[in-house]
Order: sequence, then structure tokens, then C-alpha cells
Amino acid sequence: MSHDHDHDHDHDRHHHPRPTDPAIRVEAIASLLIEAGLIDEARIDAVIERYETDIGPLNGAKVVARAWVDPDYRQRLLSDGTAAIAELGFGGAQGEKMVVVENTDQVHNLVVCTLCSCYPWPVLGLPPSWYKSPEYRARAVREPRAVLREFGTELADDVEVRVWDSSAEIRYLVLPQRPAGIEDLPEQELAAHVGRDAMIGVRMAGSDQIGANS
Amino acid sequence: MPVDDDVIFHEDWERRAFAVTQLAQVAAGFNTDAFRYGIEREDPDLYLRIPYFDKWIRNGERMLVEGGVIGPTAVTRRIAGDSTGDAEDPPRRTTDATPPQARGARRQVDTEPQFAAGDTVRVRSDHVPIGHTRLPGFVAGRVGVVDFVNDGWIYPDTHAHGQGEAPVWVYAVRFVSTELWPDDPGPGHAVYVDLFEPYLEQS
Repeated sequence: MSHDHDHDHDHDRHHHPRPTDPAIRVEAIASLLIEAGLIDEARIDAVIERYETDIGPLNGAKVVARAWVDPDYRQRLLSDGTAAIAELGFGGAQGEKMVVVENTDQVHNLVVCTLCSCYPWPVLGLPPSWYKSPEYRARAVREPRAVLREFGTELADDVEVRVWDSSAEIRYLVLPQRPAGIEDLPEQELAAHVGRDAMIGVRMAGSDQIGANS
Repeated sequence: MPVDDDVIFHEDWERRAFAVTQLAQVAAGFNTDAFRYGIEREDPDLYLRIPYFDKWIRNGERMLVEGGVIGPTAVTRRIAGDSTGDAEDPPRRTTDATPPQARGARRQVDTEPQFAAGDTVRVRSDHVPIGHTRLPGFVAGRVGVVDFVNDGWIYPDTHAHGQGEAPVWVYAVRFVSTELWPDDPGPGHAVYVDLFEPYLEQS
């Protein structure tokens, strides 16, 4: 039998035709729902604004900064994350029950959703693309130290790595360690040193893209 | 690992796909578990190669069709510029996984938790879901230790199929990498998975 596949990639493409352009599908569905009187453009815009602008990782950063300056708050946050986060006014969909896990010199925590893309919306907003990728979902539980290295995060060999798989409705937030050298900053300025990735656990606080949002 | 791919939306259509799909789910009257089950029914080949929000909007269409809001060919005809009505293709609701009457998904459970913190448990390897499940395959058959009881919740395996909330206890179970991947555990780490009581048995 002869296998003369000089153009394997083209060959594969013939077997996997590209599906309809998703942008066209979005507008087709939107127009059907608008004509049926079920939605309107203002509601579409309101949903986008709510999840892209109104909520985001600055909420979580405020929670972390408060825990860094207020030992009593930190204790409440670790024993009942949902209630302590609600003290700062944050809660709602995809945050019905929040569990906060604390990084220390001995323990480093990392959050993933292996089954889909579950993420604590009220404190972090919507997840970044890499968090939803099949690679992250599979490798975070299989080889977390290798994943962390790709984010530039090196851990000492004796640090215990704990990976939290958000497989039910409980959502997890990492309380990162406070970076050295900023002990004297006030709470509001500390929040600027807490990036999204530190609260997922892939980076250390102070080393990630501050305010990374969209 | 695509670490630099860290935006929420790459293009404007993704933004609109997110919002239109959320609104479509509401219009179709389906709960979150049914929504997730819809995404899981994506063609496996497409699932791995199309953009995340393409899976969303395709599920938005699936929800609208299964919810009886539009006929099965309505979107295809709209894309093709075919303006005939739904007369030949009437909308018909085919599944009934409606949103909960009460807020949220946390619920009272009438029975006592079967397990307590510190108990050793085994994840069932013979769990056969109706369709949807939140039992991650990589822990099936594996032994772990209950770290804490994580309250009572609507059971997704029934709720996704319109077969009731049937709330059960959820446990945060700790698995060590030597148990999960004995042949190649790496330098050692622990994975905590939230598991519904019917997924577990005494070990």
C-alpha cells in the first residue's frame, strides 16, 4: 500500500471543514432574538459592561490588601471567605460560596477548573484565555510545577503545591504572600501590587501584570 | 502553555457571543447544569479546535432550539439569507431542565453527611451518569482523604436533565499525585477536588 502524503496538513483540512464564522452565527442569533422581542441591543451592551467593566481583579486585590493589613480580617477571610468578601461588597453569580486558600513559605496554592472554565467572577471578573485552554486545564493538575515555571514562578523543592479543581459550585481565591519591601504602604496602595495571576496562584504577588483585565 | 494569551476577549464578536449566549440561556429557560451539558455535547473534534466563545454561541443556538424558542434550522436559514418562517420547522421544547425556583445552588440536605473530615474515600469507578456529570475522569477509582465538608448543593447529574435538584453533600477531597499517577507522580503535589456524595464510597 502506498502512502504518498506530501500534503498531510492540506489533507487533514479537507476532512475538517472550517465551521461557520462564529461572528456571523452571533449576529444571526441576536437578530432572531431581537425580532422575537426577547432581547434588545441595550441588554446585550449591559451584559458586556457588567462583566467586562464593573467586575474585575481589582475587587480581589482589595480583599487581599485588607487581609495583609488587618489580621482579624485575614482570619475571617480564611474561615468564611464568602462572608469576609461580602464585607467589602463583593458577591453574586459564580461566587455563591468562596473558599480562600493562603500561600505561605510551606504551601503554594493554584486554582483550575479541569471540567470547563469555572472562575470566581465577583472577585476576579471573567477568566483570561489561557485559564480556559485545554492545556492549562489538563496540565495544572498533572504537572503544576512545570506550569508554574512557564509563568516564571519557581518554588523551592520543599514547598507543598496544592491544586484546587473547581469541579462543583464552590469557587477558590488564593491569598498570596505579601511581597517584601512594601510593608509600609497603605492598604489602597498595596492593592495595586496584587495582580489577577497571583490570586489564581500562577504568579507571586508583585510579579504579575498588575491590573491585567482584558 | 499559552501564558501570553491572557485577554478575556480577543475580538468584538467574542464579547457579543458571551452576552448573546447568556441572554439565550435565559430566553431558553435552562439552568447552569443544562448549559454546561450543552457545551459538553459539542462535536469532540470541534471542541478542541474552535475558539472558546464559538463553543458558547453554538451552545446558545443549541439551548434556543432545545428550549423551543426557535426551530432547529432557524439559525442556518438566517445565515443563508432564507427569510421563510418557521412553519416548516416549528420550535419544540425537547428537554426540561429549568432554572431553580430558589436562588443559587446551595441547599439544605435532609440526611447527615456520610463522610467527615479525615475519612478515606474512594471515587466510584462505576458511576454511570444520565449524561452530565461533575466527576472528573482523572480521579475515578482513586483514593483520597476528605479535607472538609463543603456544604450541600443541587446535584448536577439530575438537575442538568430536568430530573430535580436532589441536593447532596459536597466534599473537598485531597488526592496526592502518587495516588493519581503512580507511574509518574512528579516531584509530588496534592490535588483537591470537590466531589458530590454519590460519586464516593467508603475505602
